[in-house]
Amino acid sequence: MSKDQDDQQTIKLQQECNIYTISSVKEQILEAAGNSPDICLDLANVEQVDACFLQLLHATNNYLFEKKGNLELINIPEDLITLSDKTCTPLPSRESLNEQLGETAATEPASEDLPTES
Amino acid sequence: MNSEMDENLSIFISEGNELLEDMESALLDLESNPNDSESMNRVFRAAHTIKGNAGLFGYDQIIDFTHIMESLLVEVRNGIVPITSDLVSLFMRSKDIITSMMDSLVGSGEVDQNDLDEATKLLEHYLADPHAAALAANPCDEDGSATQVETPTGIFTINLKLGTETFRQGFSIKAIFRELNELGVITSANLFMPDIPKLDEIDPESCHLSWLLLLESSCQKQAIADIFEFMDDCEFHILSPESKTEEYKKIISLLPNGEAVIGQILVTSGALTEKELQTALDRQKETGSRTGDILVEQGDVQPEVLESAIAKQQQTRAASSQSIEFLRVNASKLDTLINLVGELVINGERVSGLTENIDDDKLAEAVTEMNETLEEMRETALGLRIVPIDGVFKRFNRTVRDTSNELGKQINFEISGGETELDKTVAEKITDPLTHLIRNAIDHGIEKPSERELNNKPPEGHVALSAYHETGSIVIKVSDDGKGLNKEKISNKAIERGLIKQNDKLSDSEIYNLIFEPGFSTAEQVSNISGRGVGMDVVKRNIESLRGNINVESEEGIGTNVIIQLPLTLAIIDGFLICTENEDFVIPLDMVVECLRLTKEQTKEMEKHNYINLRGEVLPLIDLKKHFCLPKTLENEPETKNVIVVQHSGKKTGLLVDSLHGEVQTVIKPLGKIFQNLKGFSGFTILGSGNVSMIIDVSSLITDASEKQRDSFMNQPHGQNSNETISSESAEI
Repeated sequence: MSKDQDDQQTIKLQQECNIYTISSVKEQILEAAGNSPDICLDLANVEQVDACFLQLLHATNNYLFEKKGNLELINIPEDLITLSDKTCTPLPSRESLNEQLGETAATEPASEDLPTES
Repeated sequence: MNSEMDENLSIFISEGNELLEDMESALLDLESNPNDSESMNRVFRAAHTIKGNAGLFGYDQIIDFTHIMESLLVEVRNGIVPITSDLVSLFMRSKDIITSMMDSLVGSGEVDQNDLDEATKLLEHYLADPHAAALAANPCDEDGSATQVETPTGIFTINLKLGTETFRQGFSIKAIFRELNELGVITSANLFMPDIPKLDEIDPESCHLSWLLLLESSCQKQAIADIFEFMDDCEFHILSPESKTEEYKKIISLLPNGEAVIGQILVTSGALTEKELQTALDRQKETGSRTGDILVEQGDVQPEVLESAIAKQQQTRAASSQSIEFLRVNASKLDTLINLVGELVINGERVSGLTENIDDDKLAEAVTEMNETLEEMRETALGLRIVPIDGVFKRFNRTVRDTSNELGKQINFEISGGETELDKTVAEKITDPLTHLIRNAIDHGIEKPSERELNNKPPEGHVALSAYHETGSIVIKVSDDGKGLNKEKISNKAIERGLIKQNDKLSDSEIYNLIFEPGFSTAEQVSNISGRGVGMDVVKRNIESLRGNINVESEEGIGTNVIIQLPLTLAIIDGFLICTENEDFVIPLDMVVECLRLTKEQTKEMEKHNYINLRGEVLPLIDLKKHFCLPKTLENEPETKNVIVVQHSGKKTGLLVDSLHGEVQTVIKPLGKIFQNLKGFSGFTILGSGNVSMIIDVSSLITDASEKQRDSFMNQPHGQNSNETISSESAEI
């Protein structure tokens, strides 16, 4: 976990995000959120994710939004994009996703119809 | 097993057999017309009802097997699996297996386990891979691509709320969506997480995800529900596309009147899944609302589909209230009733006889009324056993199909006169002889397509089975347009077997009837269908045991007709009582045409020729006294003699008797084994006087008399009768 110049907390997740690790990930995020409502999740080292991680991202996004903060995702792995598209579940921050992946992610078939979270 | 169980089993078997017969008939219709939705529904209804009935009695083997069959039928009905000849054969085979399962329940057969396993595998194969089945049935197009089966697509609305344990139970959300995408295309998805806890409160291993999905697919609702089958705490509602509404409504309207519960009607039709129903029922317990309202509110079914189910429920209730007007009665009970009515008829005749000479108007009136009631009772009792022959005839569609396939012949099988009615006992006993005749017609009568074409005949042979009523009997005809009988071949074979002599002069009819002799066969090749010469004699014996007769008409190269004449009933008939040499005889009244009186002179004249001139027609005569060699009991010949004119197979014959006593109700009693070979009689009856009277079998009497006549003619010195001609003045009445 590192702290950048704008007080944004960057969490570099190191493992697969599945049912076995999700509680640990939640604790990391919660700890970082205690320091700053702006959190950046660096997923460079994450290869595989499950739907429970998507759910946690949404819970985090809601949590930070209430604290007037922001959640940013960087180095989004292909598996998360696939999961997001396959389950038609939008990632919390679409802008950051587009920044990372450029046109490729924007033209993913399922993402065209991605609904907004309600 | 107690008697109640016995009775229930008997009803189950009886109903099951009727349903299986209907299934077979519908399958054959379906094979010739795969788009016939009514036939499809008849097959489905039969399987569904058998499964339901088996469920009532816990016959698990039948339940399990019919369930698989029913599942495949649903796929076929919905156009997913195409109807092919192979598939019809598989359903036929399945029908046979269910028959053997039912037979095994009453100990009259056993299930071939290998056959059952193989058929189950095949049914499951079709179910598991309907697409492959479709491809197999649809030949490739010219470009080599297989023709796709077109099924209507529509948009399913899926409301999916995953259970909190979904992640912990190891279900993969990716896999669920992949499976949905395999069924069609997800055109829209809305994720809902209304009750997702805050980050600091959430248990990240608990699932709080819900989706509202739109899936464009041609699949069945159940196929979608199957994806969530094992996710116990998952809640989902699938609203079928509008395009399916009409389909569900039609299926509901065609369902048998068996289910009276709306939920089950909807599940059976495919509009609702079992799980959706269970969810609605659970909610009903909590809220007390009506199931239908809950289902619509939850978005499980469209209101129009629910309305159809409500209408079906009302129809079922109405039908069940009407069904008390019909009772399924054990046939043996009917037989007992008819026997008792028969005894009553005999006693009625006896009372009439005893009171005949008593001068008491009131007694006479009472006896007359009693006799009228008795007659009505007799007609009603006999009517209970009368059934249309259609049920028997329809079975032969399968016989023709299987035999023609086996022999590689094309047959156009035609049935007519199925509505003709006859006694149930006769109907049951005629099945085996007809089966033999039809198989024989296909095997030996109809030529191979190539041979037919050489003879300028259409490659498709024609076999017809028809029935109609004729003078108190039923006539059944088996016709074919095959090669016909070869008279010379039959004669030679008969001479070879010593059945006739070289110089015997036989009519065409007599030659053809030689085929009914035991062991007679002109077939050069014995097949597993016919040709061993075993059967036609049995056919004749069976027909004769029913007091019927069988004749053959044939023309070489044109075809053959086998004509069977049977009595309408085997129990009680209207008879005509006659007497000669103090012996009483009864003739079936429906064979009597008219009665004549001959003077002594006319009688003497007649005796020279054995015929009379009946208004310009030659009427052959049989003197019963001479024919049956009755001992002379009257010292003086009566002044006048009576002729009773009978008609059989369109031909008239006169029977010469001493006196006529008129109509009498006749309870037919079978002749004992000792008298089975007695020619000219079909049974006996007990008269009101207590006397026993023989019942004349007109058909065999005429045949027997003809044979005797021919023998006597053949034994006369040559030329003795050569100058005799039939003269019209010999016996003018």
